[in-house]
Amino acid sequence: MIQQILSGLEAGSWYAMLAVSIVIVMKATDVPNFAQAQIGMPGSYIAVNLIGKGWHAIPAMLIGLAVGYIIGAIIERIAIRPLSSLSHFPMLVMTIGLTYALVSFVTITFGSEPRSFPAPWTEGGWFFGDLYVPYSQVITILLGIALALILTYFFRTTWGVRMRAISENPGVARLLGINSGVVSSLAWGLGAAISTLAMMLHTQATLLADSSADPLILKAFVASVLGSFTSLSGAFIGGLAIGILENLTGVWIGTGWKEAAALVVVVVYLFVRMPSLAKTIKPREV
Amino acid sequence: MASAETTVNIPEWVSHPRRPRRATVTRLALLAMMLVLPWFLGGYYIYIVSLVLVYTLSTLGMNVMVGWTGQIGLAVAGFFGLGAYTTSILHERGLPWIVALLAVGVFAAATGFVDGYPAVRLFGFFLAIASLAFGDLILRVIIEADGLTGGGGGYPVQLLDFWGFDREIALYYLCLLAIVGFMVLVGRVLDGRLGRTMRAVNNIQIVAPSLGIAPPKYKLIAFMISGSIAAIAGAIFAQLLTYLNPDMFKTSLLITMLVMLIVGGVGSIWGSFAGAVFVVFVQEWLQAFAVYQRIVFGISLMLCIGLLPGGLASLGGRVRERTSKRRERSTGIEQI
Amino acid sequence: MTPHTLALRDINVAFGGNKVLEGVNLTFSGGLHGLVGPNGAGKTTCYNVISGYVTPQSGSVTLGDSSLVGVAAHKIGALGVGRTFQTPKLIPTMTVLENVMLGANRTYTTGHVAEFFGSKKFRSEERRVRELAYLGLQPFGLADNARDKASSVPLAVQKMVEIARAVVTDPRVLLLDEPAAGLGASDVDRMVNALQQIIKERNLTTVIIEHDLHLVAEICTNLSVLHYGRIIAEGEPRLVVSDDTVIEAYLGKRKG
Repeated sequence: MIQQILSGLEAGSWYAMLAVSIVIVMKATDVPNFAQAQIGMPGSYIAVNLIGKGWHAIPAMLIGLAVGYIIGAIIERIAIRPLSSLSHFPMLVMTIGLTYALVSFVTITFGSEPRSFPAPWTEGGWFFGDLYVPYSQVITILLGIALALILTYFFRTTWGVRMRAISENPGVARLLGINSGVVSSLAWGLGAAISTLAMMLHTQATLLADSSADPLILKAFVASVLGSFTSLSGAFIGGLAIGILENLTGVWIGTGWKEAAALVVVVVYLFVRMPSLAKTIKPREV
Repeated sequence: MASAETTVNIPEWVSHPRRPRRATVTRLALLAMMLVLPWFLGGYYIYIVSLVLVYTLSTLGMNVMVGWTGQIGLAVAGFFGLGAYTTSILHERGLPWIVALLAVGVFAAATGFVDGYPAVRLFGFFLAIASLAFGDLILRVIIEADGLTGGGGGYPVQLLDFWGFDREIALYYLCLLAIVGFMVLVGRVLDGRLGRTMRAVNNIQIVAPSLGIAPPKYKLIAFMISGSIAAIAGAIFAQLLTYLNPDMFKTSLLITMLVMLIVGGVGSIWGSFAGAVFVVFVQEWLQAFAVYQRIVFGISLMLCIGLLPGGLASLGGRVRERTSKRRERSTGIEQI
Repeated sequence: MTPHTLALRDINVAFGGNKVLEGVNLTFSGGLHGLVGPNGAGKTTCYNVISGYVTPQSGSVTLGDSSLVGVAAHKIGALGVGRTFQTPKLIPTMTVLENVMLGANRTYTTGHVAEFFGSKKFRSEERRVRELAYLGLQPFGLADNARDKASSVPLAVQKMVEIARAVVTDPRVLLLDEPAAGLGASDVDRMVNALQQIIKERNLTTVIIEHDLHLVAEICTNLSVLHYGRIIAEGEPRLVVSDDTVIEAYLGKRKG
């Protein structure tokens, strides 16, 4: 049981990180980014390539994160900012298109064979009696918590406060001289970097292939929904909860239903909670 | 009410609106062309055209939901699969195919009701996520019920017997019949009261209650109609593909359908056709290279959103605007 | 036809801690009533309470014998409360005529199923509705615009189309929200003439929210003044307009 919970926390950390990046992008630029998981792919691939060339894992991963940030900022500049007047549905569709574009780019550049992502912690673990705790699980969970703490701190810094201001009240924020362009860039870059981290951790536990991102995105969105798309802590905890729930479902009900757990959660949650949700999101005309 | 002293002459076009002759002729010509197509095209190409027609139908269903009531309902791939599997299973168990089709249509409407009843109070991407999850759930159920559906192993479809006629051609006429029938039906509904009401729900939702219109009711109707149409399209699809596998109805299908919807033009009946043609064309042209297909789809989605929001269908409108002398007037019935 | 009576009794509305309407009493019966007051006084909120978009904390709203509080908004519309909005809300891709036809929605006797099967009864109803809508445009002189796309007509026409649409619902009570705002003098005249003709023919209880005190004083039989959510004056326009409290409300307290 504890084994399952730990695995659940590991998977949940990936979902949580992705969910957090979704919410950051959403709050700062009002775009539901369906490509939030895919955006983490290029950075992951670059990191793997560097490791293949002999680099040590940690610097390689840091480079990967940097690449992720840059890609996020570029995408924001070319594809998102010019369309900032559009409502949610067109933007959602746009990001769906982006998903395909990103995956294709990755496949063409790096090929489609799956590869493994070697890092010092991917092999081996601790034994506590019957319990086997892989290092990767611990690292993932710790990194997730570290991220949560860093973000909490970040949103108290100047730029973090500016980002919050823009998301709460864009008109007033601009009047106060807060440059929304810089904030958008920052949000997308940050989101992409976090996604890259999540993807790297995920592919360390599984394999890195061009389809790696697909199963994650919907669950990340579900987690964001649990946080009403506005609460970072809600999204984070939601992600963890989904990870745990998934694994327990897999054990108790059957592996086939594991994938469905997140779906059921979101369907039930939305259907039950809807009336009050309507007030939290600023409505753009759909 | 007009007062008794002055009688007002009501022009003929008000009392008896007539569809413009030009449009009717164009349509009949197109229909004639489609009818004689099998004489000119070989078996494989007939199959491709049939596929286009099936996708046109499913996109039509999406248009009812997204285009006319403005709801982001993304469960269409799930309903498509529901229709495909359920019809085939019922047919295999002895039910005449047409009966199975009707039963599935009703069943899909009921499922649409279940999906829609809570969902109509959702909006925006909450609705998108919920319906996406619902569609995925349908697929999950199909996979899990592998006793009935063959699960991941696949399901060979019991083929329809067309009394000895060439299967490809007979199937083609079936598709043509279905799509023409639905286009006429949907077009007529769109012109009339239900269409106006749905567009009111879409465009002026705030005002609708003051006109006695309850938006949730019509949104729910859209869910049901859309689900039904998608399921019927799926049923025909099954006959076309002759073999079903849950992988066919995954999210990638949904994205493909979104491409058809957006590139064709949201809210346009002919756009459904244009979008289907585009997608099938790309799929055939780039058959060997799934990657390139994805790039084209991805980029065309992004381009359409950014540059051509009305999709291919809006190109026709723009051309018409420039060539027609009476720009702002329509003849009382929407040009479809 | 006897006019219908719309009555608000002791309506209290608060959004959060903000008191928007306090103890509002209003009775509208026949003729044209004016509801005026400075910006933010709560006039549109009154309309929203009547049409069911806002639920009051306390008080009652009655139309004839029916109570409207707590009734769903679309049912109130179906009961015969017609309404326009501050900014005209038409469907841009439909023609003017089709937009007005939308108003007749509550007058259909056939349902959507009949429409689906294209029954004769439905078709004659459609025809009736088209003619009704066309006639509804007559008083405003908009019959020639019937086939124009709603997105292409000027604001004045849009506002009148909205009114025509509300009238076509064959309402028992008509609520107009700043119909003359943004309109030039000749358009206002045209609109007012049409309104007066319609009100007379149908003996329609009509309420009009307006900023232009003079206009309202000229055309209304009765005036109610709302200020900070309370009715501060009521009665014949000439008297109300020269009432001190009213002038103060509009212009602010006088020094000395």
